[in-house]
Amino acid sequence: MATEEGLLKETIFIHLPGVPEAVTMSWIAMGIIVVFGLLGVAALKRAPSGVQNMVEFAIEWMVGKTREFMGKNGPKFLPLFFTLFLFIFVSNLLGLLPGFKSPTSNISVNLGLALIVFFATHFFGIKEKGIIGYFKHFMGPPYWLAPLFFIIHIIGELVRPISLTLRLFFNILAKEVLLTLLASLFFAFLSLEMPRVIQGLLLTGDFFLRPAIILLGSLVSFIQALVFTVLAMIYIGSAIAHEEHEA
Amino acid sequence: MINLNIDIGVLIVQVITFLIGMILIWQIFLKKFLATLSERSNHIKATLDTIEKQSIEVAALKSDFTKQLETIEKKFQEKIREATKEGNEIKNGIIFKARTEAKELLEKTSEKLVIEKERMLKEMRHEMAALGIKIAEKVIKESVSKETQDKLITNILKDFEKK
Repeated sequence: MATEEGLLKETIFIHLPGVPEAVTMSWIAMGIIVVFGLLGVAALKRAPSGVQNMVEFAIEWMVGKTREFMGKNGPKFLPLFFTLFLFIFVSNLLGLLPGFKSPTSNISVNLGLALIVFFATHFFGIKEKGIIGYFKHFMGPPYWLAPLFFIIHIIGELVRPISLTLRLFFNILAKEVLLTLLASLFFAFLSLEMPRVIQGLLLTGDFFLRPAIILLGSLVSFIQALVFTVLAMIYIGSAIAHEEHEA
Repeated sequence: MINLNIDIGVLIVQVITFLIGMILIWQIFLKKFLATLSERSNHIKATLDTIEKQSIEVAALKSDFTKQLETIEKKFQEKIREATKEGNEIKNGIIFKARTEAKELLEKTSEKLVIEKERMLKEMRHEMAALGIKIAEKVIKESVSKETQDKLITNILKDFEKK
């Protein structure tokens, strides 16, 4: 695995001195979103056409999802979820371009995102219900089991960012490693001495497998961005939901 | 192996990058798009409301027109009835007048006819008497005096009337 990671590093050709690769890629991903956003705003028309249709569809879809998972308060959190989804999606896709690496294949980046969701969950939960009201729902209905419920809930809450982080990290890392392996295997097959027929077959297989992996990678990118965002919606939605609403 | 070490620096920079990015996306992009969507939605809603209002107005106008048409139709029918009635009255009047006039004319004509008939009869009697005298004159071949002639005529007439 160390070799694959090493290879992964070698294929990246954008380096900012003194800035970690993941941060550079994260800035690029955010930059792409902002630039596309600016271009989108510049071409904004009352009667939509082309890309604007797509962007509007994405926004309306996201508004629909927030309503679906969080109720009527959902759209208030649109900036957070929209940015989260776009950032993760663009970051995941970035790794499919030669010379780039998904920032989401770095555990620190993912943990950063998961911690934002974690703090947002508790911040908005406390804001909505008050400190006592918020932590009261950690206790569970039978009062004699409250301490046990509290500990279980706290562990559950602490595990959430970890699960968010690791799910995204391993999925994207697997995609990145697979693509890098295929690229390196191509050159390895070329340099190896073997019968031409076998070499040709291996090279052809490798050559045609790469687009399939890229396609799969795109799908994984979308699904992981969606899963992360939807889970964030559910976490924050359940934190701000009142008990009668939850029932 | 896979590097699972957390780089606090990267983590903090990532959080800051995300928060700045979120604010930028919200301010320069999402807000404007949402405003456009909302504006469009309001515009569509307003247009639909206007259409609905106009359709209600059109329905009201249509109802008014229908009522007016019905009123006009009623008035028209009434006028036709009145005109027909008036026409009938005039027609009956004319017929009645014509009949009366015809009756009067008939009566006058009958009276005239009777008078004429009497006159004609009188003249014919005179003529007959004169003719009789002339015949008698020729028969008896003698002339009678004027007085005798008048007496004879009167006698003949009396005889004729008796007959």
